[in-house]
Amino acid sequence: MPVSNSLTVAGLEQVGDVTDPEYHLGKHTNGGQGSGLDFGEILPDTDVLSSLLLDGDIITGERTGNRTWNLVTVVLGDDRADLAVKVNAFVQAINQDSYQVVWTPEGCAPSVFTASRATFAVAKDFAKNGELVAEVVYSFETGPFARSLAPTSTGVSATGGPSSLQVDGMNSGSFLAGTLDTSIKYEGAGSCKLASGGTQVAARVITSTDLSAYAAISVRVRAGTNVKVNVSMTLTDNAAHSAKVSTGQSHLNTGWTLIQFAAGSFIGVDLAHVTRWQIVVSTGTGHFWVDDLRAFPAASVGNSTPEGTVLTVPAILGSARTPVALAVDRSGMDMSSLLLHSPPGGQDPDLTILAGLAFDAVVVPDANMNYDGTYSVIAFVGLSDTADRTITAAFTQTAPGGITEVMTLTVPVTGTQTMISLGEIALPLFTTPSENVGCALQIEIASDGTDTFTDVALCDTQGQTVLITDVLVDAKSFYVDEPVPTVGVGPVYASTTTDRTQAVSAIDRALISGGPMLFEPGDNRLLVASTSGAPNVTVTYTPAWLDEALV
Amino acid sequence: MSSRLCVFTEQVGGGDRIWLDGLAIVAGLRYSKTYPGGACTASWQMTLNALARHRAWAPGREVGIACGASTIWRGDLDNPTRGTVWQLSAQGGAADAKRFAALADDDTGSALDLASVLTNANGRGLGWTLPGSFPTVTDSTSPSGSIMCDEALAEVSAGQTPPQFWSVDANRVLTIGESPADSSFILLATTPGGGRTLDQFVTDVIVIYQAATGVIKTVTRSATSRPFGRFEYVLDITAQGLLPDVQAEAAGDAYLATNGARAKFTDPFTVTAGQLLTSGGQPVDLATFSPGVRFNVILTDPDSAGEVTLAPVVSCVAGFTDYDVDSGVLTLGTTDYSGDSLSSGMFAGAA
Repeated sequence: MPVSNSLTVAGLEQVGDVTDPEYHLGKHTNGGQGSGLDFGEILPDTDVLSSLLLDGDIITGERTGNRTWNLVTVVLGDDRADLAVKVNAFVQAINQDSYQVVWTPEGCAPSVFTASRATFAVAKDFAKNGELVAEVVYSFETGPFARSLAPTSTGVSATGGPSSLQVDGMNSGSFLAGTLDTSIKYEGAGSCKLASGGTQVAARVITSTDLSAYAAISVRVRAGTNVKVNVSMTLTDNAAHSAKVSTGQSHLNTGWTLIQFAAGSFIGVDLAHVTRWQIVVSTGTGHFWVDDLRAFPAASVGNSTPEGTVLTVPAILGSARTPVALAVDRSGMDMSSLLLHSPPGGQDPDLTILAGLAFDAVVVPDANMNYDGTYSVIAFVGLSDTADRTITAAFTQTAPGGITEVMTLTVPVTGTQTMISLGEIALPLFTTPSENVGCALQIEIASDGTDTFTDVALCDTQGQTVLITDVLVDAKSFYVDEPVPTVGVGPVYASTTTDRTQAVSAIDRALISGGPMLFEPGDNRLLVASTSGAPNVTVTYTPAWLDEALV
Repeated sequence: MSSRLCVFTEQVGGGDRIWLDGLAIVAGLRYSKTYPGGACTASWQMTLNALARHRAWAPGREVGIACGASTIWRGDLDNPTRGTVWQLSAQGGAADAKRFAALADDDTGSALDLASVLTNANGRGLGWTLPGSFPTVTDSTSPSGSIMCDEALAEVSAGQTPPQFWSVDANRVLTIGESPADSSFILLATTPGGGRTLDQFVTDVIVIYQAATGVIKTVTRSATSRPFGRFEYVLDITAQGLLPDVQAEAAGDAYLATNGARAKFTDPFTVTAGQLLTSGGQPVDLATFSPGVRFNVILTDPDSAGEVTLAPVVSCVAGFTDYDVDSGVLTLGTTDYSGDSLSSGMFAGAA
C-alpha cells in the first residue's frame, strides 16, 4: 500500500510523486485536486416514467451512465524541447480508445476505472512555457463503476462439490433467548420463536464449530405478517470475541426468507471456533421465527439433476454488478451442449429454474414457484427424433379452490436436437399474494415425434444466457470470458482438452443474450448444464464498486 | 455497458454466425413488428473505425436479435452508414415476401393460390414453414406472376369473412387466421394513446361485388346505431370474383365489426416495464411482446377513452410494436391506430 494518495492516468502518475514526478495534478477552474478529486456523478441512463395520478416521476431500469472526469495536469520539463516531448507523451497516452485510471487513497485499495478517449487542450502560455511548465486541461469519461485491481476465483464441482453446513437446525433444546416452537418450522423438528418485544432476539450457545472455510452464514427468518425490519447476526468465538453484522431493511412475510451474511464481515471473530450465535430483529410488530442456521461455501449446489446444477454463489465482493468469466468442464469427459444462465439479481434463491422430468413432466410446489418475470423455456432432449415434428411445453398452474390456468408453447423442429428453446412465457400464469401457499405449477414437455426429455430449464430474460446446442466437435471444456471495454460480449471458446491451450472460438454456435455474464454484489445463482452430464464450473471476477474499491 | 439484447448476423441460409456485440459496443438497438406481417425494421449503432471492414456487416446478411434463449427478431441487413458512430439497420423477415413473385404451378394458375405460390417461393429460397392449409378466394383477375407474394397474402387474407391476418414469426413460421377474439393481456395505460378519433369510423358499408350472375351489384350494410352520425365507406370486393349475395353481405358485416361501434386511437401507447400484464396479472418482458394479440386497456382517465358508456371494455388487437432496448420503452400501436405508417404500410390488412 502506498503511504500517500496516488492517481495514475493512462499509466502516468499524476498524484503521488513516486514514478512520474514530471506530471502533477493541477487545480481546475471548476475544482480539481484543490477541492478534492471528483470522480463525476453516476447518473441513471434510463427513461422516466410519468404518471397521471401519482405525484412525481419514476426513473426506471438499471442502466447507469458514464462518469465525466475533468482534470488539469501540470507538466514539467527539463528544457523547452523536453517539455514538448512530455506534453506529447501525455496527450498521446490519453488519446486512446481505452485506458485505465487508478485512484489509490492513502492506505486503501486501488480503484481502477476504464476510461475512453479524452478531449484535451494545451494552453500556449509563453510565460509558463518559459518556466518549463505546461498545463493540459482534459476531460474524459469512464464507466460508472470502479474495479478492484485483482480478480477473484471460486470453483465448484457441480456433481459432488462442497455442500453447505447446517450450524444449528433448532430442532430441540433450549435457547439463551427465544423458545423452541415445534409447530412452525422451515425444516426438521422445530424453530426458534423470538422473544417478543420491540427488539426481538434469538440466541444459543453451540458446540465450537469451524466456519472458517465458508463464505456466507445464513438463517431462515419468518414473520407473522408482512413487515420491513432490520435483521442482524452476532457470532462469538471461544475467546469471547464477538462481531455483529446487519442487513439493513429486509422485507419479511409469513414465508421463510433466506438472510445471508458474508463470513468475512464478522471482523475480529475466530471463525474456526464459533461457540455462540444471536439473531436480532428490530423493530417489528408481531412474532418472528428463525430456523436452519447454515454456512455456505464459496459456491454450493442449490439443486441438481444428472444434466445440470443451479449453484448458489454467495458473498460476491463489491457494491456494483460485475462481469464474470466462466470455465466449464466435466473432468475430462465430453460435452455436446452447454447452457449457462445467470438470473437477474433478487431472484428467489428457492425458485425452480432447472427441474428433472419424470415421464416428461414435473410439478413445481408453491415454495419453489415464486416466479416474477418472463422466462425462456428450454427442454433437454434425452433421445432425439430426427424427422420434422412439433415440440410442446404445457404449463398448468393450479390454486386452491379448483382454479386452473393453462398456457402452451409450441415450436417446430427437425433433425437431431440436444436442447430445444421453446420460446418465452410470463410466470406465474396468475399472480397470488405471499399468503397463498397452495399453488402448484406443472410443466409438461411433449413431442409428436419420438423424442424423450430429461429436464426443463427456465431462463429469466432479464438475466444472461449462453446456449450452445450444436458443438462442431465434442468439447471437454468451455470458456466464456469477460469482454474487453470496447465490445459488448466476450469470446466463447470450446476446447478438446481441459485447458485453454487448444481452445477455439465457439461463439458462432452460441446463442447469447443479456450481454456479458453478470453477478450482483452479495448472493448470486448460476445455472450450468449439459445434456452430456452436469458440468463443473469456475467463476472468476473482479469486484466492482460504486465508489472506491474496498479490496 | 452493452445492450441487453444481443445482435448477430449470419450468411444467407444460416451458418457463419457472428455476434456484433463481440466486435464492438452495440447501442441504441430498437426493432419493430407489425400485424399483419411480422418483423418490420431494426436499427442500432456501433462504435467502429470509419474504415473498418468485416463480413459481419455485409449488406444482405441475415440479422437475428436474441433475448433469453430465443431469437425474437429476424431480418436482412441493410448497407451500414459509416461514420464516427456507425448506423446499421435491417428489414424484417416478413419483407421477404416482397422479394418473391407469386408464381403458381403453371401459367394458368392464380397468383392468389397461396398453397402453390408459397410452396413454389420456398423452392426458390423463401424459407418459410407453411401451415397445413390456406384460406382461398375465387379469383379470375390475378394470373400467376402478376403480383408479389406479400400482395397475394394481403389480398387473400383480407378477402376472408371475417378478414384474416398473416404473420411470420422469428422462426419463419407463417400463420394465417382471424385476429384473436379473447384478450390475453392487460395494458395499464397512463396516457390515452392520443385520445380517440372518428377518422375511419364507419356506420354504413356500401359493398360493391360481382354477383353470381356476373352483374356488378351493391349492397349496404348498416350499424344498428349511429351515436356520432353517419359515416359511409365503399368496400370494393369485385376482385374476389363471383359471389353470392349472402357472402357480399357478410363481408360488409365483417368490415363493420372491426371498424364501427367506437372511435379509434390516434397515437400508439408508450409502455414501460410493469404496465403490460398477462391476463393473470404478471408483468411481461416488453422485449418479448409481439403484435397480433388482443389486450384490454385500463386507462387511468376513463373519459379520454371516448366511450359512450362505461360498460364496454376497451379491447384492442396489437397491430404494431417498436421496442427501444436501451430505454426499455415499448411503443404499442393497435389495429385501431389510424396513423399513416400503418394504413399505408406494406402490410396493410383488413384492420
